[in-house]
Amino acid sequence: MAVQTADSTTGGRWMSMTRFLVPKALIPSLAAHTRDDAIREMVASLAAAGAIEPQNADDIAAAVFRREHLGTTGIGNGLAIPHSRHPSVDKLIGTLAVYKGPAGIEFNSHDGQPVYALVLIISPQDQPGPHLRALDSVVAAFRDETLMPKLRGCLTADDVWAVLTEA
Amino acid sequence: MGATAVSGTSVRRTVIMGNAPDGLHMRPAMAFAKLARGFRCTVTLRHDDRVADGRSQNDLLMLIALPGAELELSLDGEDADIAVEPLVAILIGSDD
Repeated sequence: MAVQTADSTTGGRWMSMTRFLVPKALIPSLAAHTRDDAIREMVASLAAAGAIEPQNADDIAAAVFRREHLGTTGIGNGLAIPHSRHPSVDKLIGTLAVYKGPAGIEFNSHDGQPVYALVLIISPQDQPGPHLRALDSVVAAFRDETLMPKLRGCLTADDVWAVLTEA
Repeated sequence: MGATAVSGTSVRRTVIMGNAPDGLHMRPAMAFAKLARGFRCTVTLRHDDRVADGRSQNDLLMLIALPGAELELSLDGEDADIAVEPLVAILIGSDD
């Protein structure tokens, strides 16, 4: 059963992720090959983009690891949404990373399949609404099976942003 | 928790989402879907104009059910009456 939403246009669904993704932190091709290294690389990318303070990067990564240990955020179909709350951010932010290797990243996903796209979400402590809306926007976007191959074809962060914002 | 309607092998229940801080986020959605898949009945959850297959974690995430949200749970099948209480418990008690 497909969830019925008010906005069912393809471009609109992809665009909705751009409300919280940090353009300069997008990673078109992860260097990491493991779950934890991928999360570290994404957090570092948020720091390099100025979205988080560099001195908070290790603590934010640790918070994401702790959440991951409670249960995988690999939700199937090659997608994982690692996330955590953290007191150092005052608005919800995130980044998207693509893994180009054929074997994917092992994430202990529900469907047993490796991960090729990750969306990292860092939320303030007391904003459940933006957090749930962010999860909704990611799930909705990746329900469109044309998104993943387009992302895997991107060479630069600008390319990723262009895909997400295309009409 | 609201009123329950039982008709044959169908159960309808209005549920107020628990007051845990994050609403129906990833972990309670996963727990709900996993539990729902263990029953033979169909499980449908509605929030406003959004309708989710209760067996699908991703569907459930797209309900955007915040604490206090009013949800309509519909179960249809031979074990619907058995499934309803544990499923409601997850919605009422969902937390981190």
